[in-house]
Amino acid sequence: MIEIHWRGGRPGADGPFYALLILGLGLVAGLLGFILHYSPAVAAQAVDACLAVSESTYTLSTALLVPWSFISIVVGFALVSVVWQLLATRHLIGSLLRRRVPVPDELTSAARAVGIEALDLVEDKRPLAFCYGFAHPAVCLTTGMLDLLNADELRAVLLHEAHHVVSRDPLKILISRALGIGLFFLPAAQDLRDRYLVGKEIAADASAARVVRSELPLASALLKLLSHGGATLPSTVAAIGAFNLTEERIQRMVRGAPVERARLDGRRLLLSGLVVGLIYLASYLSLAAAAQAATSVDECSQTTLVGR
Amino acid sequence: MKRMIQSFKLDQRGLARVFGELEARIMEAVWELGPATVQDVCDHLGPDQNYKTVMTVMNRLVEKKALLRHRDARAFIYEAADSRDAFVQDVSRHVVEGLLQDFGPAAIAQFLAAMDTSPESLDALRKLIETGRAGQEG
Repeated sequence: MIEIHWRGGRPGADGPFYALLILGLGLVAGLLGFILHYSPAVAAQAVDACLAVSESTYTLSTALLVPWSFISIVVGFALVSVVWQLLATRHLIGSLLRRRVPVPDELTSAARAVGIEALDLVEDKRPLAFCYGFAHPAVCLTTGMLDLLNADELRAVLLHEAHHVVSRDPLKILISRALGIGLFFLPAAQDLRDRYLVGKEIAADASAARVVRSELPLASALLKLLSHGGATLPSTVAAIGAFNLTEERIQRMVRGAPVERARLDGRRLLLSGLVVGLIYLASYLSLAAAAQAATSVDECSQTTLVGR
Repeated sequence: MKRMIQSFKLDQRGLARVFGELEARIMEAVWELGPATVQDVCDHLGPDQNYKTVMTVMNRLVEKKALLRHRDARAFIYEAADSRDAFVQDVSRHVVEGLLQDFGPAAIAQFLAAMDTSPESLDALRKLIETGRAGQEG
């Protein structure tokens, strides 16, 4: 049994993920806050009978439309992406697990030793290893992978996957891709998503290398996969922005540092800030104008009542 | 498999989803008969089959790599490239993966996610392993 150093602490790759989550939730919460803040004026107008014929009805509903449409776009796109990903995952996992075979005892104990409780072995010539599942992540290996790797390499790959299990990466992938789609108008959101998607692999490599105190088994597993008959499942990783995931990992192993992309791009950050500012400004202006209109309509109806 | 299956017809049933109607009947015949000549397949299909048509379709199946052809003493012998089960399994995998490609990515963390790596990186990786091994031994 080996000691697993990283199990207690959080692996360091999650920063971009949480930043993205805060960005998405913050944007939606802020817009909701606007709506709630101005809702008394909205309600006042809604109960007002004189309103039905007033021109300001139109002003008010269009005003509400601005923040609501931003919220619907973000939430709607993100939800569509979640549903897509869930269906795609179900299809893929279903098609593979149909060819599940019994796991040899040695493999079970090798997996347990690195902290993997749930392991599936699938009869498939393609050498594949991946972590799936949102509530209780499991690891899936193919017989092709077992045939290709020696014991050390296999252990390194299992350690890599164990890291994904512990940090619940399938769930984070689901959420970060959904937020990337929901916040498609913010370059910074795309950058954070890419940074997370790449960072989680580098963190998983690093944690495996830390445990075996060497990068060699992982490097030679990667080389074997890349040079003879490696395979990737289709559509599991759409191209990750400007990154080449495998290239980044190799650079990290060889140089101990990632390729030059460490800093967030200032211009993209500024552009995102401007877009968020514009969204808030548009929502604020339209809601404030509508509230103003509602107040004057209130006055108008009161004069009508007094007049009677 | 990719070259073999160009289209998948949702309105058809069974093998006719991936083959033409006669193609599907010929494949069924070859799976049933084992290695067979065009004449064997013709006889199996029934009396109203035109020998030439069957031969043309069988050669098309060879081009699609669904059938293998080799010359025996007197005639060409055809046999299925895959067993029926393996074929059906392969087709369904191909179809599912094709759907996934159109549908969007699955949310899984795969050990090797991208294969397109520069030769320089592969060399660097190879060197790292060689130096590492030498270091371990020395």
